[in-house]
Amino acid sequence: MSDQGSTPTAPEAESPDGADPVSAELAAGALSTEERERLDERRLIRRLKRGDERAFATVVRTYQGRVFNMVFRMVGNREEAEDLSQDVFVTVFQSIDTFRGDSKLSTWLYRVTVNHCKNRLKYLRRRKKHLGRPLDEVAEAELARGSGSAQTTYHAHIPRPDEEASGRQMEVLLQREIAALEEEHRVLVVLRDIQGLSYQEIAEITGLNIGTIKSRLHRARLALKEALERKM
Amino acid sequence: MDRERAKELLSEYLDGDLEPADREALEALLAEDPVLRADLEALRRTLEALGALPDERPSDDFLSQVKQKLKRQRKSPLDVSFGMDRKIPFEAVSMILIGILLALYLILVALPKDQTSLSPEVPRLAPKDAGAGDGGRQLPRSPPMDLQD
Repeated sequence: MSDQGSTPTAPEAESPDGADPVSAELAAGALSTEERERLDERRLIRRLKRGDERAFATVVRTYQGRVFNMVFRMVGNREEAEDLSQDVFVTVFQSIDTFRGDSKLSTWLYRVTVNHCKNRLKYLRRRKKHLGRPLDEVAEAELARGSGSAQTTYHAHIPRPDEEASGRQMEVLLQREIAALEEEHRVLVVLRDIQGLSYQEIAEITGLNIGTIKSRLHRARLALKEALERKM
Repeated sequence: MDRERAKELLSEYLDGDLEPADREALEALLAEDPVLRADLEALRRTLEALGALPDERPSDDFLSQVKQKLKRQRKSPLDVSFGMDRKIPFEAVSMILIGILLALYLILVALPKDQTSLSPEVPRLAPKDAGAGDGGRQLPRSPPMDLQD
């Protein structure tokens, strides 16, 4: 679990003579990696706002893994996650003009993702479609993994067969318990404990204050711990 | 620090987010309370399990699927394309059309009744072949129409 810091991006500014301020800053001297990333991001956002489809492709390639993983853990269904993640990027492209650059692009993207997830979960609840499906999807993912699918990557070492079996069991169990969490708790568990975001970033994404995030997250973690203790 | 308060702080303790004073107090309690230690270990295992969940990845053609979806939405009959990536929403188009129709209606209502007819009065012309059965006698020609003011 990596803890990413949050550096708010300064609002982008074009120089009056039309010169690229990013190039000017780069030419002015050596920049730290963080500054360089921030400038690259500002340049990318400017291109996106101009409707540059290559910039859009860059954004999709850069963030598709994080967005998809988050959506999958929220809805627990590969098909829904694929469709929903696509919707996230469509929204990003269509609404980039509303992005002021006060936060990092990734923060804004996560905010769009969270909103899409909430709306879809509400819709699925109304349609009562999601009942029983998340587990099916995890089982399906397991089968796919067993047959050598490249859709899943692991954080850990290559497991022995017995470790692998218990790992899968744990994954199925965890996904079930994540799906059973209240929606606002689930978002926090996914953002913090699966995506590895900092409390500050989560506060920017959700609009909650850090104290609220900590207390809700604690309750969500306790619920998961107790569920695992009961079932393991 | 009582036991209930200590339990509430376990999560923050594992995040490494506790104030030094709270951390020391909690560690002192952990040293003498095996049940609290067991709670801490169970919570730690839960977080490790969450962190060890595999990263799920989208399909290989994800980008092209997104592009197709974007293209479909641009071509939506409910939206009027305007340039490459600009759209006028259907609602805006409707409002503009309603505004134009309303303006036309108001103009027509405001005009005096005798000006509302859009076709100027055309004097009746004699039929071209009016004299055909009249032994070929020519009728006097009407003066040319003056449609200008």
